[in-house]
Amino acid sequence: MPFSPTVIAFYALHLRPGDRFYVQAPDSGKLGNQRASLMLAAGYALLPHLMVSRPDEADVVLSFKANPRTLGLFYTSVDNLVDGISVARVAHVA
Amino acid sequence: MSREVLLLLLANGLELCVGLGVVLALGLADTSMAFAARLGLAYGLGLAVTGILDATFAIARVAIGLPELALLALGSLLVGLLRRSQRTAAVAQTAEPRTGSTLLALGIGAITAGLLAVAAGAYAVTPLVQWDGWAIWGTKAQALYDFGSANGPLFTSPAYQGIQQSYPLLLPALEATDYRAMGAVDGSVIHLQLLLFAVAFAGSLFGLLWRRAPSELIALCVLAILAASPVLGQLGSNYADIPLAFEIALGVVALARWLSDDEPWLLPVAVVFLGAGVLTKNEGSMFAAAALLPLLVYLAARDRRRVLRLLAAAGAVAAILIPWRIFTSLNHLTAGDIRFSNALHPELLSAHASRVAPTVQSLVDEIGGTSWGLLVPLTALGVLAAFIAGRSALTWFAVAWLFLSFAGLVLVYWISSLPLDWYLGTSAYRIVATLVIGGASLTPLLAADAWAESKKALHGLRRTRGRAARPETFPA
Repeated sequence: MPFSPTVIAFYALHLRPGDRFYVQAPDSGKLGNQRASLMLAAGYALLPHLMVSRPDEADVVLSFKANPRTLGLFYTSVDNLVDGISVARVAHVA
Repeated sequence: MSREVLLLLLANGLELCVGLGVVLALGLADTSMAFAARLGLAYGLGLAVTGILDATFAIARVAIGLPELALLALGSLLVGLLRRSQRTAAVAQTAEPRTGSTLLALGIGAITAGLLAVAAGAYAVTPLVQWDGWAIWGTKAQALYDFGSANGPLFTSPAYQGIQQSYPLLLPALEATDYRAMGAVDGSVIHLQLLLFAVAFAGSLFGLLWRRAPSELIALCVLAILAASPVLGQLGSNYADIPLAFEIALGVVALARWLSDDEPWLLPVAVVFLGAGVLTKNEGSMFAAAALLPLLVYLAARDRRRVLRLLAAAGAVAAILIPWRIFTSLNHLTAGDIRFSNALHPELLSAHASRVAPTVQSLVDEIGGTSWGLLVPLTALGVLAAFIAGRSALTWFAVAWLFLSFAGLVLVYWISSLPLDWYLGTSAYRIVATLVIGGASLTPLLAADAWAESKKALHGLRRTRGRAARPETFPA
């Protein structure tokens, strides 16, 4: 896997109880691409937080080699581990 | 011993009690000797019954923990004791008893126990690091523990399709029950549950064949199976292939004994083990069908009065799977790339024809490889021994199951669209486990008659030589 346990630990640190998250990463569509791998790793490591399949369903966007601004959502905060690895908290409109 | 290990053992102790109830109800433990010999079978049945209930209740929003297990054990024991008190006669064995050397069997059993004890030390500290072990089975087990049932997004949402949502839940549901007993998720200690599958398998095979095959032959085959390096190696990865192999092997042995001896208790035992197999992995259904179909054909041709009972047993195995099939259907979960209905499309089979030869070659290489140790030669010897001893029904059943299972595995790779090299490279080494372990498990039954005849002949030869060597004495 191209991502280290530090990345998963960084994501875990920014999740609050009950948060649902969306994984944003390069997706070549091929077997075992980066997004599919990260979804498996995060899906397991971040339990009991649940992963969602659409960004607008998420409370938090976990980005890897990607920019959360490209998803067309508004965020209350964006925390970066390094450039391209971030946790963005989605601003839900009431 | 840590608190987590003790609680895991407590859960398994209760599962043993569940199986004891089944064994008592079937009339298999009416004497102290039978009780001791069938204790392992009781554990195997308890694990299988609890696993089936765990997996089924998980989709019905019921989580099984220690209190529920205790209730289940109590209920099972009460029913078993009640049935035992109502029985007027002991269950009779129809075939000629083949007891063998108890001392030799105990010696081989001690070596097997030593092997498992050494493995237990390693398993208890093994981290959950093998890919499918955590990504598929580990994630499901932890989610069942976290959420209490399979009725959440993790089991149905497209976000989690990478965890193979269509795979049935027996293994993760059993592990979730252990986590509930322990009160926490422990990715290392949980490996002991996998090792306990091996213990249950060893005890169950002995209990199934006790007094039907020589004890030392059963013990030798159990040791050969557990000592083959892929068995404990793969079991410790938290993949479901070896638990599947154990369950299907026990179901197939029970069916083979039923075919041979027609003792009524064998059919429900076969149903439980095959039922556990079909709820462990999708290919479990294929292996179970590969056992039931040739038996049905054989009985339809030779002994029609038993066909209805076999059909009822096949129906019971299917009924165990039905709740899971309804769940997958309601949630539109498909088995990814593999659809057996594709086998009915000649154009697809024709387009994929080039996949057959490399698949056959790869599977044969895996089965015939040295890593499985004595298991393949043992199976071949067993089949040959049964044939020479005139056990035609057993020979037919064993060969038909092995052949159909192999053909079924080839079909899986044939109809799939996954890149063949990658697919074979990541799965062929473990998908053959059921075939190899199942064949080796049949060996004591296949070879029982030939083994006993050889021993008789050997004794006769010794007596003749003894007489020939004795000097003639003359009266003084």
